[in-house]
Amino acid sequence: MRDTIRNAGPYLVSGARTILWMFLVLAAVVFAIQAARALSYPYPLDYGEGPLLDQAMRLSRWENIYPHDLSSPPFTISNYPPLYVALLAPVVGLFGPHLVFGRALSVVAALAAALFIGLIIETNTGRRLAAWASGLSFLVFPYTAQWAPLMRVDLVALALSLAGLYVISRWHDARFGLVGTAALLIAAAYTKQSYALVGPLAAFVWVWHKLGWRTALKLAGMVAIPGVLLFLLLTLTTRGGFFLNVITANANAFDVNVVVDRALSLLETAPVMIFLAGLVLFLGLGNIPLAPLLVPYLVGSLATAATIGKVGSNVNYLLELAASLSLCGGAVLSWSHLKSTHETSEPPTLWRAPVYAAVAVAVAVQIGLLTRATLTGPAEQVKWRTKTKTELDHLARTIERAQGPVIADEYMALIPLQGRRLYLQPFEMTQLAESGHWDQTPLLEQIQAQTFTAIMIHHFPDTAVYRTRWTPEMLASIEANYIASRYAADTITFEPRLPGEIYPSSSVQCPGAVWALPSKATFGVWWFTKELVLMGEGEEGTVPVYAVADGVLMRRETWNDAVAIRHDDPLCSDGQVWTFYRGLASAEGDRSYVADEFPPGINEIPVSAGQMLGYQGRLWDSGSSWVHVRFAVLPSLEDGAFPGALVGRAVPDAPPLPVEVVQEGLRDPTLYLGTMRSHVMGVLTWLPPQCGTER
Amino acid sequence: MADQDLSSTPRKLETAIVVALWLVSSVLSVVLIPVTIDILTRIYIAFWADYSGSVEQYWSGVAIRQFAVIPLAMVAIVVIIGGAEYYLRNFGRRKSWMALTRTLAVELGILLMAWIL
Repeated sequence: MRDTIRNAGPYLVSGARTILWMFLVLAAVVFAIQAARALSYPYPLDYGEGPLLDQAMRLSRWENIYPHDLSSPPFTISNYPPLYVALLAPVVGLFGPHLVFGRALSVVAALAAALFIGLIIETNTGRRLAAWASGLSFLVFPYTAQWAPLMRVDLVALALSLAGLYVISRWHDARFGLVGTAALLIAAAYTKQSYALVGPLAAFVWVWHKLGWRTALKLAGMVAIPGVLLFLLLTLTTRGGFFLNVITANANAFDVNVVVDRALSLLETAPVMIFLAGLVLFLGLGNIPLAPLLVPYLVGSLATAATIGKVGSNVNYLLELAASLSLCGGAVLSWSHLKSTHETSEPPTLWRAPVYAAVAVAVAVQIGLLTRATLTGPAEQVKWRTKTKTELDHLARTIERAQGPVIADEYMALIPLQGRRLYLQPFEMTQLAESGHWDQTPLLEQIQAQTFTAIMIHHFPDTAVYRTRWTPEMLASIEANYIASRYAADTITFEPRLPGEIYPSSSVQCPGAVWALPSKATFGVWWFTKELVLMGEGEEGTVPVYAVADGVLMRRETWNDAVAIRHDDPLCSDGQVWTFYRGLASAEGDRSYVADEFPPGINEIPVSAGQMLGYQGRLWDSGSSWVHVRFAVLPSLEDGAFPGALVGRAVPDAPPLPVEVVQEGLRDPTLYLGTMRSHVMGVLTWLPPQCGTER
Repeated sequence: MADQDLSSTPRKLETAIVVALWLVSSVLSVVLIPVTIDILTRIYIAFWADYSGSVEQYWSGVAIRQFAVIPLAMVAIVVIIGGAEYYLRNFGRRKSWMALTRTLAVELGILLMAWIL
């Protein structure tokens, strides 16, 4: 038995290495495709690309990108230190505003980060496969695959930080090693300020371990003193603008639930990596040569990762953690390989080869899990974003033709792409307003004065992200002075309301209409085969829904999200119609937003026009969607009964509907409301909430 | 070292093991053709397919399958026939065992990929 295990050892190792190489090649291919798709896409893939492109354009014209006074426009903030933008400024100044330059820089930085991860492993262990595994596993982390192809600062900062760690791990006893490391770590901090923590901490502990506390303090001084001096210089030359933009403007609210969600997601995606990192953390010191570097790096990156709970943060806060987990995986793999070969003076113990084979296969499976997470996450995201290119062409043309300034959120980058200055960064200024650091009155006055030719608000179907990007006062002012006029790429374009024009609401009827709208339609109306979907502005359960006319209300026992009202038909003197209101429930369907006075199972309850029925929800059939209410007008059956089958709410064992009722189907609600209608059937068609005829 | 170790194993048993493993790798080489195509299709769907049922995307998916099946079939033939020749000529040698190991490792790797992705 012992001979069999010993004889099989080399073959187990060879087989395991083969499997690991296969997964590494797959990871490289997936990252390459992801990067190529993003690089070739001309429009924004992320909110944060817009401000950076705008800053690069301004810096290329030698403008100060750190304003100290936010009381006058443009209301923009430069959240990060200047290195990334300074690298891009000459390029965009020469070739014009394009996102590809910043994205290419970020992809190159991701590759460099992977390279330095691999070099740290190979230099200190001599294990090439472990080095490749570390580097490529970092690239296929979903956080890296999502963030690397974006025009964002993080990968450049990470590459510089890891370069510093590579230099100190390899040349810690050379003078240029300390100087080079300090320079790289300062450069990382001046690319993104949060990189001033983990990299320097890991380098400090490593140098202390290798060369003693005096040299470690020397390194700390070489990082801290120039770093602080540079900070003071930038703050003084910008009259405090650098401090305001980079420090004050980054202090946002915190939500611990986000941290918990991300931690659980990471546990599901990277269980092997987490286990191997745990081995390094608790058993590494004294056993793994790189542990004095990896342990502080891991601990520091965990602390940084916890800041993902900050409002507005994204997976970029997890990049250092991804790098540290990749390093730990490579370190354990190389450690198990070292002991399984003849490279020590002792013969390998019996189980070392099988252990190494098992670790290699486990790392391969981990890379497979990361690849799957990348395919189902970032790859799908880029795919869906790039599908809206035609719609973004329309948005770009709207901005191009605009006579005055345009403000936008998610697709803000379209503005500098047209060669225009950003006028407002909604998220950053909203956070400053809510923390009391910015007075939004001048902006509100400009909205009221209809200064902006267009305001573009992106509305994700599943979460009301726009509410973190626009203050309630801004939204109220936009609603009062602007009207939703176009929809493209999940973005509603608001244009100034015309004086004297009548815009329908729940209290204002269109000329010639018999009913007012049952609810707000701030974000427009979807026409869905004669059913109207009115999208209100607000969280679910906050936008009221009203009865359009006097009638008798019915709510079946099984209707968690709906009510129906029978009215005299105002368009037919001896007829009756039903109005049907649904979607008045939470996204999961577990919470009803129908008013308490209309419990399930009631019938023949008199209601009057304008009486509140409940609130808009997010339930849509078996899924969820924007905050909305679905409104339909149905013919009444001869006995006055509700034709539930027309809206998919047939009562079990009910007799089939009369043929003429089925043929007629739903009534056209626009005949009653006077709003715009569409000829399109079966497909959601967006309409502006305006009086009119056809579109 | 491996050759010395293997010579200690009865030759009939060694022959049986090689034949059995060759048979397994041969069967897997054929069975893994649709599995490999499914992996390629999975990657295509993740990056390009939008589930709209577009004709272009459908035929792209069909094209992937049609273009991939021929080289994969060739690989299967190499594994079956080429493998048999190679193991016969190099019977008992380390390089024969290593080739068999790596062939089986690749096939197991494809199975793992299909299971994970």
